[in-house]
Amino acid sequence: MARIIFIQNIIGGLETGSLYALAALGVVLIYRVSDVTNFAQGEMAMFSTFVTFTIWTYSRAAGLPYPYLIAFIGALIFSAIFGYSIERVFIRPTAESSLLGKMIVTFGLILIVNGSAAAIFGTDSYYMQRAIGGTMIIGNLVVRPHSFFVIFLALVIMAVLFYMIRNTMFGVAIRATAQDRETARLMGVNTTKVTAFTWIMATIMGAIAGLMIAPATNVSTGMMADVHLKSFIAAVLGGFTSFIGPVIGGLIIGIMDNLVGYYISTNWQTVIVYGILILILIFKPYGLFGSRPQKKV
Amino acid sequence: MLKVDNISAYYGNIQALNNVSLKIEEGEIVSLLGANGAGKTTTLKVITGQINPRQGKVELFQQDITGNNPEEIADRGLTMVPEGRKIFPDLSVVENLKIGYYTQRKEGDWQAKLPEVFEVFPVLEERKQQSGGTLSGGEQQMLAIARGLMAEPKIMLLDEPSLGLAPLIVEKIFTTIERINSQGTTILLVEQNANLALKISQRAYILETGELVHSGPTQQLAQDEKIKEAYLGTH
Ligand SMILES: Nc1ncnc2c1ncn2[C@@H]1O[C@H](COP(=O)(O)OP(=O)(O)OP(=O)(O)O)[C@@H](O)[C@H]1O
Ligand SMILES: [Mg+2]
Repeated sequence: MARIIFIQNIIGGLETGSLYALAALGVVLIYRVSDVTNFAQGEMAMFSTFVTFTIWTYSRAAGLPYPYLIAFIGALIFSAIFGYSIERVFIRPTAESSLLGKMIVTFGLILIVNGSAAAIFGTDSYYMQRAIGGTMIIGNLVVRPHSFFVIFLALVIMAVLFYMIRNTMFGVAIRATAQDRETARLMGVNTTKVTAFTWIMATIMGAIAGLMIAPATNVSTGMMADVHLKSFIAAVLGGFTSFIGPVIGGLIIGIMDNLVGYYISTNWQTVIVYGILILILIFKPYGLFGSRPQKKV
Repeated sequence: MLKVDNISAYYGNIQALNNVSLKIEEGEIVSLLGANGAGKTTTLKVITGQINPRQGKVELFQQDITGNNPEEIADRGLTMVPEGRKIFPDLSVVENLKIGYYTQRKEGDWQAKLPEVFEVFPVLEERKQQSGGTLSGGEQQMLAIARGLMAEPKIMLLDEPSLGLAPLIVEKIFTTIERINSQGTTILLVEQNANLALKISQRAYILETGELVHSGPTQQLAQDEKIKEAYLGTH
């Protein structure tokens, strides 16, 4: 029995952890390529989830087949357009401004996106269905297929993204832009397009994280607070200077959160988990996989 | 092939170039010489679109490219080997070469182009997987030129390729520049090492505090007493 509970905690940790990882990867992708720390990632994900929820509700009401699938595809399309628009309208005009200025723009975005969501969708919270409902019994283990779906989906997205960044010409262009934008342009790389692409990718990953966490949190304007905070901590823990760091960081936080909460104390869960994280950062100040950031020219 | 017409450029309110005009014909090696701060790099940056001139015009293949983006100009077949090499430090040597092929990505396979540049710089093949930032200065300069070659440029701009390198490597780099030129690439070479630059180029321009002060065929410049004194020193 003890082993079963342990495994269940690990699976639960991997489930939420892979969502932290997705969200964190989006934040780091944008940060690496354009030096912008997008503090509005969570709110943007919340907004995307509300749109997805609305599509889902209307598809069901209209009696369309596979309403969840329709909503999922709607989420991908909407978040891609959403991410592009935010970049185009709010971020691109600030390309020449200071780091602090860019940061403040994303703080402003939190207010704009959250306020719009409250005005459009209201402040109530709504039930959202799981991708795959019900539970499954494997031996003595009781698990939700949804958990495996989430883990699988996150892994596939990250594998595709990593393959692209590592191996394709566009991926090398992304890394070149991250290291030295001006020289990348001399090579013929349209760095404006690269930046727009990172915002689109990050917003899609945020939307998926939002949709996957929604059954647990309900859909509401405050739904992403926890995932957003933890994804940032995951990015810091793993290291903002690597792409794999935030993924590992997200998984570690997800698993630790579950284990400490179950075996030690739910009251002290947050304190203990972040205590350990601070300890790690004392010994690895740039994160587990990070290196001292090189000054960009 | 490349025509710079009456360019004036500024950094804020400070004027860096005043009415500079250059002309480079297909197949030539042309040098642009001058002391520190003369405006050589600024001239190249105006050509590549990194700086917008306040006045004047840049023409490439009879087309006005003034104010175009650097990536658009790169797409037209003009490649810059920038001052200070500007290797991507966290990309491996092959990845640096791969990104050099970016403008050609729809034309063919970047890997098919590698043997050609490895033949010019065999040392790069030995260091293929090493990250760019860990190469020595000379190796980085070779990589910068090789990366430029990957773009199959019609015209290549080189900004002080000899800077900080041992004489033997400088010689190798200059021989390579001649070789690249003989294979059909037009060259605009910026140098402080005037002696060497004049040896391999047909014509030269000399800049002094943002203005062109001399220009002409190299033999003629090399014989001019004033120029000898000011730029060729006594080596
Ligand atoms: N980013 C900048 N901001 C302000 N002034 C600049 C900037 N870059 C260059 N300058 C000034 O413009 C003038 C021309 O500089 P430029 O870099 O073109 O010279 P250069 O001939 O390439 O010199 P060097 O041989 O030292 O590379 C110099 O007076 C320099 O101080
Ligand atoms: Mg210079």
